[in-house]
Parts: sequence; C-alpha cells; structure tokens
Amino acid sequence: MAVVTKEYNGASPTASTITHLKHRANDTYVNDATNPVPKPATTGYAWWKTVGLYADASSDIYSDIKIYGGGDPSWTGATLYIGDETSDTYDQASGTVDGSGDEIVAEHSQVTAKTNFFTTYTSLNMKTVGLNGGGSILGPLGSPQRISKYVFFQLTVTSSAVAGSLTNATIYWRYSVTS
Amino acid sequence: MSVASIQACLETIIPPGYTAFLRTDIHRDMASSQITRLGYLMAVERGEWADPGRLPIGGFEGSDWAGLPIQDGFRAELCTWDGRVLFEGTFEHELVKENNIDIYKFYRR
Repeated sequence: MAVVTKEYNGASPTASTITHLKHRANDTYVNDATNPVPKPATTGYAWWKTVGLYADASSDIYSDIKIYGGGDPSWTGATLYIGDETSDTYDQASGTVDGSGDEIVAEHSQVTAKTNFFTTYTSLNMKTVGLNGGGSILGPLGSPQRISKYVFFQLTVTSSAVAGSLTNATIYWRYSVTS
Repeated sequence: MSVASIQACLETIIPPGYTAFLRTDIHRDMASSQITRLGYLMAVERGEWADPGRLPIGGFEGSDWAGLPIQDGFRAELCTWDGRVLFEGTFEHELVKENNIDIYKFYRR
C-alpha cells in the first residue's frame, strides 16, 4: 500500500507524484531552475499549487487527513500561504509565465481566504484537510485514487526577497488507517 | 522507517461483551514520503459492532479527531518517532521491564 503526494497541473488535471513542492512561475511541477518566481517591485506570487494525498488500491480505510509544517523557515521576503478551504473541485493555476501568478484569494474559485502555513499549522495545530468525497471514512480502495481533498498553496514574494533558492522547508501529512 | 525506528506492540485481553478497535496514525513527509511518526491507537468499548475494522475510533477526549467516541471502555495510544516512544492510556497502568522490553500493563481496579 503506497501513499504518495501528487501535484495537479493543467486543465484536466494531470496528477504527478512529487518529492518537492517547487514554487514556480508556471503551472508545472518539475523541481528544476526553470520558471523561477521573479523578484517583484512590491509584491508578487508564484503560481498556486494544488496537491493531494494519493493511495494505491488496498483494503485500508482512511480517515482524519490533516497537514502541517515542520517549523517556520523564516524566509526573507517570501511566505507560503495555504488556502483556508480544501475542495474536491480543481481550479487550474493561472498567471503570467515567468511573471507573477494570479493571487489565490482573488482568482481561485474555491479559496476565499489564506493563512500563513508555517507559522500557523504545526504538529500541535494541524489543518484538517478532509477526505475525497467528504465522508468520514474512505476505503477499501478498488483502484488507486486521491484520498484527500485538494489542498491549495501559494508562495508570496516581496521586494525584500533574496535572489536564489529558498532553503527547504518540511510539510507533513497526517492520516489514520484502519483495516 | 529509518534505522532509528523502534518496534512496539499493543495487546489487550478483550472481555466478553466488548469490541476491540485499532487505528494507525501515520505522519508522512510530503517530500520524501517517509513515515516520520507512527501512532497505534487501540480501544475496547462495551457493545458489539458488525465490522469494527471499518470504524475509525476517535482520539482522546477533548481532541478534534473524528471517529467513534469511547465511553464505556478504554483506549491506549502508542506513538513512535525518532526512536522514541510516547504512551498514553485512559486506564491506570504500570510499567514493568521484561527481557529489556518496556511493558505497560493496563488494568481496571
């Protein structure tokens, strides 16, 4: 039984297993140096990210999916926000390629507010994500599928940002399994 | 799990008229997909359930975990992370060491 993180991109969308949540100036998931988020004159945005927890078919029954950070990385001029809403409805990220992404609260169909992820959500205060479909349990799974609702992230960048890559920060999923 | 993982188990004797439930809590690093923390939550509750394996049990009273509340039974939770163990239970318990293994014994007085 494998459980992985998928990032969702494109119109359909396409689900890709990720090992980094790479914030970019395009609707792509790859972890490379292309499409860097430009340093803005005032405030700019990476294109928002859509991720979900995904599981193989198994007899397991899932419940209580939550997400939290492993500590505030204190990035200079950059803050990772999470949409206050999670959803089973996907909304493709938009913006200017190699420019700013559209701001998530203003443009995302499911998000009406956002919260500083790393300073708010910790192991002592996890964010409830919910199950795909909205039930209290999900499973057994007859085929591989997304088990969580979609979670939406967006990196905000200000003019005080330092050029180059940010240090890595850690995001954790937490879920329960019965079988 | 890493080389720092540990092995632990929860066992209970289920009295007649009670049902046992088991839930596994998994904390997984989004980047590596590595499991960083495991919790085993076992509960025994008075009554019968046709398919107790499908029922997630709730966490300790006052927590926001969804699931079956345990009202006339007990629950015990064992968490392991970074080679450490945390043990909590709603019953009185004692810790004994047998063959270099920590054994927590729960009982009703």
